[in-house]
This record gives sequence, C-alpha cells and structure tokens, in this order.
Amino acid sequence: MRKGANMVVRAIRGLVRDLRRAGATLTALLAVFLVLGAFIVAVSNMNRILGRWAEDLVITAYLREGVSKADIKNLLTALRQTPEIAEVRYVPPEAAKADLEKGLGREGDLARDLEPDLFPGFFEIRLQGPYLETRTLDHLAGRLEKLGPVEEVVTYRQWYEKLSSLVSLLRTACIIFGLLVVLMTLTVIATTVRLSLLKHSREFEVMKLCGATNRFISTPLVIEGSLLASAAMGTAIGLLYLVLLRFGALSSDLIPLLKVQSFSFLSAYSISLLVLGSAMVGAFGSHLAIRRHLRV
Amino acid sequence: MPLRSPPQDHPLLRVLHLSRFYRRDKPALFDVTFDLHPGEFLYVAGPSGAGKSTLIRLLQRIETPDTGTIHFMDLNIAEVSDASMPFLRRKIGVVYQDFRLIEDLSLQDNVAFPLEVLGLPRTEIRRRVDEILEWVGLQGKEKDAAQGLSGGEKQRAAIARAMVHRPLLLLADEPTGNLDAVLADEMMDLFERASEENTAVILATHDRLLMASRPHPSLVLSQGRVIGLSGQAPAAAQPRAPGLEEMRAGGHEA
Repeated sequence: MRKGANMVVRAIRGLVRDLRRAGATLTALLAVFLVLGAFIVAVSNMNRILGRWAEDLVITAYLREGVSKADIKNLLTALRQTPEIAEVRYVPPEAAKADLEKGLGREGDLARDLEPDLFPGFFEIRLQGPYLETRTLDHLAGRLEKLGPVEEVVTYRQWYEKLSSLVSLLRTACIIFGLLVVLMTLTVIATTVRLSLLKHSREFEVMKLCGATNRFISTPLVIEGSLLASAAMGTAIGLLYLVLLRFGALSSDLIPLLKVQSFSFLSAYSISLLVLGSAMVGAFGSHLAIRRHLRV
Repeated sequence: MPLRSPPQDHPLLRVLHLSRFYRRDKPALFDVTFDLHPGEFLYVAGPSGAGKSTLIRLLQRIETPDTGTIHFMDLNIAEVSDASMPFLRRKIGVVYQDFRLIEDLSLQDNVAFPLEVLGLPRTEIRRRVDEILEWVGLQGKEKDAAQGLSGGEKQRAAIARAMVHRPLLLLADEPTGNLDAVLADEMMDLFERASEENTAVILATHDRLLMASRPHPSLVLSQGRVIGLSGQAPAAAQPRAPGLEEMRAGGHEA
C-alpha cells in the first residue's frame, strides 16, 4: 500500500518537476478530448431528440369523401385491435377545419369561410414504442391503403429516415474519431514519456546504481501518463459541461421545438468510463515508450 | 538471496583472475586477483587507461568479465540474475569523479535516493538523510539545489548518497579528481571514516601524493595488469580461469 502511494507521490513530483512539458501534453490532450467529448454529447443529444420525435411520429390515413359513420366506426374498432397501434384518433372534417384555423393562427380567417366538406376526415395513428421503425411503418401503411374507405396514407417516413441516417453517420464518425483519439493519445503520451526518459536518463542511471529495480523506475512514469490523460479528460468534460450549460441558456427558444426539456450531458457512467479509459490509454502509451526507450 | 554481512575473517569481495578485453590484443584488465574484507580500504592506482574504471564497472556489473569471477558476499555476481542484481547493488555505494548528482533536485532529495529505493517510510528517510548530511558536514543545506553547491559540497553530497543506506562496499572512481588538495584531503577523511565504520572501500585514483599522504593497501595497475600489490592479503590460491590464455592469444572478440 505504502509502496503504491510512494509511486503516485513520485509520479506527481515528476510532473511538477517538468511542469512545462506536463502543461503542453495536457493542452494537446485537452484539445483532442474536447472535440471527442463534443462529438459524443452531440450524437447522444441527436439520438435522444430523434427518439422523442419518433414517439410523436403518426400515420395519417385520409378518408374518401362520403364514408359512412358505420364504416368509420368499424375501421376505428379494427385499428384499435391492431397490436402495433398504440392510439387512434378520428378527426372529422369539422375538427380538421378547426385544427387548420388554429394552426394558421392570425391567418385563421382564410380557412374560416371554407366549407367543412373540403376537408377530408382522417385517422391519426400512433404506433406502440417497439414498432417505431420504418419497416412496421411501411407494412401498416400498405395495409391501410388497401382499405376501401382510405384514400391516402402519409407516414413522414422519408423525413424520419434522413434524420436516422444522419444520426447513424454521426455515430460511425464518432467511433472512427474515438479510435483516432486513442491513437493520438498514445502518441502524445509516448512522446512525453520519451522526452522525460531522455531528460532524466542520468537520473535513472544513478537510481539503477543505487539498486532501483526496473519497476521502481518505470512505474511512476506509467502513472504520470495515466494521470496526464485522465486529468485532460476530466478537464475536457468539465469544460464541455460549462459550454453545454451556456449553449442551453442561449438556445432556450430552440429546445421546445426539438421536443426535449433540455440538452442532456454525459451520464455519470459515461464520464467514469471516459476518464478510466483515458487513464488506461495514457498508462499504455507510457508503457510503450518505456519498453522502447528505457535502458536500465 | 543471502544478503547478510560476512564475518570479519571472511572476504567480503573476492576477485579471481579477472579479465576484460575490449580489443583482442589489448586487455582493459588482465588476470586481476585480490580479496577485500569488511572495513578494509584499498586503493586501485594507476595512470589513465590502466583499467581502474573498468574494474569499478565490473564490480558493479555494469560490464561483465570475459574471464574470471567476482564473488561479493559469497555470490558470484556474474551468476546473479538481472532481476536480483538491484538487490545486490543496494549493498554497494558508488562515488564518481563527476559527482552524478541530479542538479535540479535538492541536496536532501539527492541523498534520499537509495533510501527511497529501499522503500523506507518518509520519516525514517528524513532521519537518516539528516544524520548522513551531518556526518559529511552538510547540515543546514538540505533544501539547497544540487546545482548551487560548490565542488567540494557536491562530492560530500555524493559520498552522503553513497553511504546513506550503510553499504558493505563503497566504490569511488577518482573521487578527488575534480577537487583541490585541501578538499581532496577532507574527502579522504570521509572515506577513512566509512572504512572505520566497517564499510569496505575501494578507491580508484591516479594521485600518488594522495596515496602517500594517506597510506593504505594498494593494487597498482598498468595497461590492465597488476604491477604492484602492497599491504593486501592475497586471494586464496586459485587455478587460473580456464580459457584465459586463449583469450589473451586473441581467441575472443570482446
């Protein structure tokens, strides 16, 4: 236990002794981690927004003119018994006209003089959560279109698909960028440790002659790499949180339109994972440099 | 590994027929044999290129001999594994002509190195560092950076670092080479005190005046060969290492 604490103390002393180099490494890693963090936060928010929008996704089935009330009632019963459907609402022509007037706001007068018959009645259909995906949407729309009273079915599928592929693209980009960040972190840490090895080669020689084992010399360097990477990640996450708070305040008008309460930040689990991951990558980078360049 | 101090009547260090060749026709060290008991003081003398530093490096196993053996505490150091070697080195202190202090560290931190390696608690390190700094006459300078010390103080610090973990053997390679006569004399006081405290001392020097003013047994080298051995108990008669003559004849590329 004391040995471990002693190693950490020696690692911190090493960083303090080379404050300038530690600062440069921290800054380089901070920049990389900030971009990665921003990517992750953006993708996670877009995913969330898409999920919320998908919950509101409706299928609109417009009815032909002159469909009887009995047909409408039968259709409504049949739709409610369909397992994929969570909710069905019938909107008669009068209500459709009222909706339009309301939707037009100040321009509502334009719709007021129109005959209600001009507005087709329609069903507004919401899907059950697990069926909120394009295949079910297509299948259900096809079945609805085959029904006699139904004239046209609108699913907003294309719009949903475009947004889904955008999120998917960003997610892939995030994974590729994440891998690049791991490589960059390894390189930056390995270079820092290599510089440290060069600068302190004489010190290591003296330590060796005093009976220091390889582990005694190399462990603090591994801890240094680990501390630098995790400190950079911690700082990047802190800065991102502040930026998100500020961005949230500036875009208060935008947030309701996106149908979310606020922008979400990384979960405690994700933060722990990122800090731990960066610490491990930092330690591995140091280890690589030590294996290649430490001659004790 | 049995790292206990050997008894007084038993050699701490036994060097037998030690040779080291960098070039086949010119040995850096050839057929060197001697014993050293706990607390003994031995000069390794000779001009530049005589093989003094090679001997010191071989004793630390920075280099390995081409023939011959070095037994330290009854262990043939050539047979000690790389992983175990650091533990053996903890029984040896080394002082160099160029001090080899870490310039940006304080005197206290420099001297504490061997104790940190031993993993002693901070309080114990502090106590022993204070004690050894007083022993070498550097008390009150604990916090001074090594780069701010004078030449004499640096060598005192180097001796303190070499002695702080109470080694059984102290190796000094031209420790007075960078110092004037007065300072060299002061350093010799410290080495003699170390010897009186039962640490065996091997001091490599080319300074005949120094040796004359502080007489001790000496091993005189010239071009890698022993040309004089004064006041020193000879090593137990041992057959020459096999292969030595062949190597001398040029059968080995070092």
